[in-house]
Amino acid sequence: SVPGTIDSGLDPKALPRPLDGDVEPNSLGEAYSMNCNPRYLRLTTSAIPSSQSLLSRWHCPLGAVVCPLAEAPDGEEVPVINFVSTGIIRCRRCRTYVNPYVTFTDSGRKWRCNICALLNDVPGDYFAQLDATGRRIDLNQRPELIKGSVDFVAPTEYMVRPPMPPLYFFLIDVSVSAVRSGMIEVVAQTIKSCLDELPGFPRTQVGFITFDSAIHFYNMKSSLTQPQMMVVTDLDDIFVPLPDDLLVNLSESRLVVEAFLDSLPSMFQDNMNMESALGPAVKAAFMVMSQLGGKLLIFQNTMPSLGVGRLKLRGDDLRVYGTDKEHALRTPEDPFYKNMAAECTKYQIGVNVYAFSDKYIDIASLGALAKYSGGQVYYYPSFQSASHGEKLRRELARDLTRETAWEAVMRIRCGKGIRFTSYHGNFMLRSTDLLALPAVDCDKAYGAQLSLEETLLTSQTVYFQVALLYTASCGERRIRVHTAAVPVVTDLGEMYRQADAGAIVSLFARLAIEKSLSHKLEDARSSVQLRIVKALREFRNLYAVQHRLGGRMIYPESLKLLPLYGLALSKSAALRGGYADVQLDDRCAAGFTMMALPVKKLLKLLYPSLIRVDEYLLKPSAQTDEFKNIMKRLPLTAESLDSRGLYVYDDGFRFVVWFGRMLSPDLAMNLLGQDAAAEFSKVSFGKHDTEMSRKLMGVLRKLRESDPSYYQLCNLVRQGEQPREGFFLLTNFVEDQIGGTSGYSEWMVQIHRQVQQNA
Amino acid sequence: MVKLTMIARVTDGLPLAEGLDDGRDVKDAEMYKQQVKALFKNLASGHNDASRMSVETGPYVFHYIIEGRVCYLTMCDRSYPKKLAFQYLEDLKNEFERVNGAQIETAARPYAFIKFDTFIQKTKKLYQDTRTQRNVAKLNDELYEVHQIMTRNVQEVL
Amino acid sequence: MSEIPNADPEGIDSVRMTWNNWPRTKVEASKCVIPLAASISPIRSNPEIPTLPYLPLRCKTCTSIMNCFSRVDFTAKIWICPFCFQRNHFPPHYSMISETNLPAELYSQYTTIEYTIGDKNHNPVGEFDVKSAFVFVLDTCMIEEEFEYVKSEVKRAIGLLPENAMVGFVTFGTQVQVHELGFSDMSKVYVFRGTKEISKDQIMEQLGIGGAGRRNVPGGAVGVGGYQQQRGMPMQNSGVSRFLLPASDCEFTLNSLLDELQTDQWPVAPGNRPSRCTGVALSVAAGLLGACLPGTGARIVALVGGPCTEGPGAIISKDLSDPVRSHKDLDKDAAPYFKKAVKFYDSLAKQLVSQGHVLDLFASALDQVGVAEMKVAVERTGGLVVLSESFGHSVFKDSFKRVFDSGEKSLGLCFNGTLEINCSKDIKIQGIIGPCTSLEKKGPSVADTVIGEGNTTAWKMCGLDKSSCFTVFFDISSSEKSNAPGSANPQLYLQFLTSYQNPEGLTLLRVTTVTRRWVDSAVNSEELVQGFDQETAAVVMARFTSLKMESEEGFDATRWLDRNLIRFCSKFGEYRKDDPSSFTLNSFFSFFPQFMFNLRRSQFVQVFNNSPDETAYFRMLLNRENITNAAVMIQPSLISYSFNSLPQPALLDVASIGADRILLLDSYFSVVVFHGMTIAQWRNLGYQNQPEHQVFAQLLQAPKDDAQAIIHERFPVPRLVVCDQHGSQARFLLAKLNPSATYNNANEMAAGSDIIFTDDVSLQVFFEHLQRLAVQS
Ligand SMILES: [Zn+2]
Ligand SMILES: [Zn+2]
Repeated sequence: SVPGTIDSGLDPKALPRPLDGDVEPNSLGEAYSMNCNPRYLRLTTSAIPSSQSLLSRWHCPLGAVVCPLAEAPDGEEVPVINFVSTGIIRCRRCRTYVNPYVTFTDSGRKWRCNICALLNDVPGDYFAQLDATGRRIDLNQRPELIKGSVDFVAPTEYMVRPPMPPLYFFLIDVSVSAVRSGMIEVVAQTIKSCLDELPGFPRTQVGFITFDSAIHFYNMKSSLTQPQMMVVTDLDDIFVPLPDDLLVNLSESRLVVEAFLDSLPSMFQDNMNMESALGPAVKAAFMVMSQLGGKLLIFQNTMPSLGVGRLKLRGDDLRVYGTDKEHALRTPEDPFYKNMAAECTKYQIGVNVYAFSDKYIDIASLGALAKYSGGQVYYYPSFQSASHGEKLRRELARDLTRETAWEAVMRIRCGKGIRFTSYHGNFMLRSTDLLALPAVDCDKAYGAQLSLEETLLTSQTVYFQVALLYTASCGERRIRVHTAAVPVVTDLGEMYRQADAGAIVSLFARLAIEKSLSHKLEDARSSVQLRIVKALREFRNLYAVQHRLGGRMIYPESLKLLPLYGLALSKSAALRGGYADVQLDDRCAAGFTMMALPVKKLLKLLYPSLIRVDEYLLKPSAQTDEFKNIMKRLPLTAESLDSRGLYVYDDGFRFVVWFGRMLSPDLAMNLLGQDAAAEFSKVSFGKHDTEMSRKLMGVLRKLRESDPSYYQLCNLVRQGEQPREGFFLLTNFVEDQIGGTSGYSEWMVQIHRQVQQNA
Repeated sequence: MVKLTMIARVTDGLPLAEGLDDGRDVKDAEMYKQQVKALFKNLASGHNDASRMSVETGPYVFHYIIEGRVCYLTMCDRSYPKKLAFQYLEDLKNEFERVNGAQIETAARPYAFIKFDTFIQKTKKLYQDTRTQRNVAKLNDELYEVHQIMTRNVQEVL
Repeated sequence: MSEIPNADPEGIDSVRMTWNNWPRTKVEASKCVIPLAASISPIRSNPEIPTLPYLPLRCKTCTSIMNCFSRVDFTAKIWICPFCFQRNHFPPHYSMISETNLPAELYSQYTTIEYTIGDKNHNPVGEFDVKSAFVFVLDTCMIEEEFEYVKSEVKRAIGLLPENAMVGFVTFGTQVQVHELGFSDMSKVYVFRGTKEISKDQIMEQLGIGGAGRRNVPGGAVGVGGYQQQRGMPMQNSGVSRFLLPASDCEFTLNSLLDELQTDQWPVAPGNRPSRCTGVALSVAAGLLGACLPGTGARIVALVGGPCTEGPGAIISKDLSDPVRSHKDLDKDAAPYFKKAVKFYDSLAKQLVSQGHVLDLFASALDQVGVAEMKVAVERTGGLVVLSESFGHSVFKDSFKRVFDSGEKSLGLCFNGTLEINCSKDIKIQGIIGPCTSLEKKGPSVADTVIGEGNTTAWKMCGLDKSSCFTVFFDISSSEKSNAPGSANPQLYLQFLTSYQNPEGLTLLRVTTVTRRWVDSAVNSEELVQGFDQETAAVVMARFTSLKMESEEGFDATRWLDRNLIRFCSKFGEYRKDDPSSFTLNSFFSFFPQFMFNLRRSQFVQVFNNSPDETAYFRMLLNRENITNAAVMIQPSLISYSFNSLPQPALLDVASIGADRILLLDSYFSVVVFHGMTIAQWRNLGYQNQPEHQVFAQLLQAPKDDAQAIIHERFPVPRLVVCDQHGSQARFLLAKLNPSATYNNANEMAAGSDIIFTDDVSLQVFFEHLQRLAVQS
């Protein structure tokens, strides 16, 4: 591809935009066709610099984003291979798993490791003759030799204990605010509705604890007709009130579990307790779970106020912002949470935190539980079941039913001379390069950075191999192996050509969020900007002479969206502005979420899609190609909005449906009926069964189906309706100047100017 | 009391199933599990052909039965009645054969029948308290005899 | 040989004294050997006792109550107190009083009167009018069978409770569970660690009831309190609606709870006892009641199936190879848990007494459970105790049911009793042996030396019933200023004031005033002798000996009893010095040596044949039963049934056994029906079923009916043993018989009788020794 240029007399319309969404680069072509699909592994560039000096001119991060369990479309499932009888074929020296890039020699009796070049013996049971071209004759029956992604069935050596059963433990706040928000009811109903779909039947285990100022355990023994509640109030000395039956086999205790979920909402409906002994409750859950491990889901509606890990209000002092102490607000207040997470990880417990509150709840502290145990933070500010219930319902259901890998560890191997030096995401490191992931699923991605160990790489190709050792919900212990090969280059231009802006932005985002935990927000933002500038300057230097650019801005085609995503990143909830711009909890929640997102999802969050739907809705009948048409994305700027139109904004986490001032009343009536005239904050779709309404629902459904990891609620906004329009939509139009931030054009001018300085 | 329960294929020592959450109140549970694995290996190599045996180790005893090329082994306190231990194993054997009998030969991965852990757990609980009427009745069951079963020490066997 | 008792030896007053005529001086009293003591059953029912619906008149100086011994000056409208001789004016409403118009309390036959003080309990709690409360504290460390027995008995008990009785439920094993019966959604318990001593405040805080604590700040609107506001209850009473409910409201809940209740689920390591935290469980129950119903009559009904091995109150380690302490261990101070445990239960007793609550103990186990340690808490609160070997045994089942029976079969369980004693000048009170606690109320009649619960003229009985009995020990003032004999008042007076709350919740005051005569024993010992009550004396000696054995280290009971008996016989016998054959005893004393002989052999003195638990159990009952029953414990009654005569008392001697007789032995704790060999043979042949042998059938039936009659009215229900001569169960009879025929003198035995394999001395030998020693100069 060729580099693009931008005229300094900037035409905003000509600026590059990701209106087709994230397009995974596939520039390596045939030579590397056996690489794993980029949904599993994306390198920031598919050209590894051969030398330190070359790398030092790259300026973007050199690394990868790995999503080891990414959902594959039908027909592309990862094949499962059973090597138990022969033992898994691995390199004797570097422990690389057999893969499409190993080569067979000596009439098929030896194989050469593609990573360390050692010649290994082929075990008798694995022997096959080679054909004339030196390929094994059984190649087509050997998926591990032709596919970049495989699952090996693990032999006993890969187990320290028998495969654990899937285990879901629920820790539910039942204090008065939890009761009043309706959260408990939604959670109880959702869990109940998912019982048939929890993975791992018939071994699945479940357990519950509820808490306010006391810890309530539940005996769910299968022989009981209803559960028994056991309250422990000695918060300083929490203990387990029963040796068994607090954690039960779901299929055996199904009736008791259902009885519990049925009575849970009413049981506490009159509870006036405002306290929260979260710390002791987590310890209690840990005691019950620690024998087996599993997934701990915490539903927290109020700031922990009693016992270990109690927290206090902070972040309301705006004088702290902009000082050296600012970042402390974004890190845990109490080491309890991180320590507890470390303990959980050690015992194969992954924690997901569902936080609901209309007040400050200290996500920074609570989130540490999830972050360091490989879990996830879900945040529902000001949750009310009537309006937000559906989102919680869908997301919790997703959490409970998505394919999950248990008691897992992950390691990324790569060829001689290079090495992964840092990892970024939600996990705990067990050793320098082993990520402990007690409960990992398809929606989790991890960033990693590479460095060159030797000054000069001698090989032509570098190989990467991601290995995730895990227990599948069905009780099989497996090793998922993703292998990719990339060329080693001596040319910086090639590095730029092979760059993957999506992967780079993903790493940028992770690094910036991490930086915001030890620095001011402004520092985190400017470091992103600085690296973009340096990269573009290096590129400019590379081509300035031959292209005689003068004042024009020049950028590699592969990185044409990098400045825009950089801008969007600075404007994301995790990094934008200061004290007043984003609530502290919102900001921290966004940070935790972004740390775990796969590339595509992150890019969509940074540059959401905006589509116009009124014309489509008004057409008499919908054709499929029209439908495709309608999905055409628009630039994220207020200029894209026509006051006669109806638009849907989708960032993957929520929808905003914008009603233009001049929108045909007929359309509005068809969609909303009498509600069309009502206060929009109280209005929702779906109640009116008109063709137009059905069509719109179809559109929304389609948008949701494209990524089920989160559920987008609809926020309806009228043009000019303040502050809703600003809050829901206009602040997120990253191309516009909002509240003192640069618009896309200004940003480009700024970048361009900085690139030229000291050029 | 029943502390550990392990089921393995005799021909190759492949573990087939194990009690859920086994050995949680046993000190050095890992060491005993290693001993069991070593024992299975020995069985696979054709040693110890007795189909029923008790093997003393530390404060515990391994009791096992071999039937249909499957070894059912449990580790109990020394004070736990031998008769109950073997009836427990019989119970496991009957159910295991009923459910998995046809696939034992072809099982090709460790813990292929790990789903059986649920049954093990349930059955184990029934045998936990030796004083229940059910277990007292089993102890008095004239038909089930364990006197013939040899007891050896773990050093002799491994 | 045994006395035919009076229809009612205790009369309207239910007072029996060792001496009914009192020596005037301390010196003379000590020469009497047998202490001056009164045994009183203060609320025994008697149809002749009038109940007066008004308040009694009190002497303004000594506060004793006007009674039939008060002299009245009808013209001056003045009554003179017999205790302090104070002249008291009658209040205006007595103005109509005259020789022909007397109030009941001045009628000479009404030495005992009951006054109704309040018609309502003084403790209305919230919306409930609480009259009584029962907190069941149930052990769950049991085998299934036992657990099923005890559960079904608890269910039955709950069904029998009056509708308005409050019920609480606590279970325990490794941990303690307090059941929140008022929580309707599902079974809910609060759990406490079994290993940790826990204060009353902590209990209240953790249950979310009562005063202090971070979660109970008043005006909890700012985020504290929780449940308190939940039902809009006054704060201190919230526990009542949550943990204590009227029986009628929670019977269903409790029944289903009991249906699903499991035995303790924590594993017990081999060679170990289950971990059972009886101590913490009782603390928690006491804390709960203390927080919810202080001052209201309430019982903790503890059902215990084994020893406490966990936490405070533990009496033994968990290691089964470590046996539960025996009397030998206690003697050698080789029971490391004992003193600590007793100290714990002693403080529990103090707490319960201060709250006015009762601890009842139902212990059923083959081994000991710690009755010896818990005795202090049961006895001081006036609790009931039943010891049996199984919850399936009738001794437990029938006794337990009796506790909850109402109407005629009711035990008449009352609450919140206090006993006060007024006495004439020169009489000092040393203390009480029996189910009560000293209230430490000092006064001129408090003696310097203390016996039992002393240092007071008032006692608290948190629980008492129709048969509760107390033994008061008196002494005579040693002051020399005492008037010359016979010069002053020849009568002495004692007044017993017992206030209590009856099962219906009424507060009553029972006033018993008795008078006895002073005698100058130095001058006239005949009168003294005539006033001797040997049965009472025997029982008092038994109680006193038991107390000494428990409280005096190295006390040699047998020697002490022997010495006292010899002294007694020396003083009251008639003999020529150094001539044993000349020895005779006045008929007022004639049975006393035999009582002492049997006391020496009884379980109260020969403790080594029993466990400390059994001994504690026997002694608690000895102390709280009336004289007649207590005498049976010491010296069982034996009745012989045969064809030729009516049932008749038989000598408590092995010689009473005959092949053609049936014997009925009542030793209080067990009732034995013993069939002679021939009778057993005929019975086995089924003669009783043949019409021509109706007489035989009647003979078989008669002792059974009599045994049932005994069992029927006794609490705890005695063990019934039906056995045959030479059968294995026959030992229950033989152990109680005088070994007149042993293998030592088998040649003298009568045909058809039995021999007892023992080295015990026989009554005859005992007497010979006694006579020899009594006459020695
Ligand atoms: Zn290698
Ligand atoms: Zn007076």
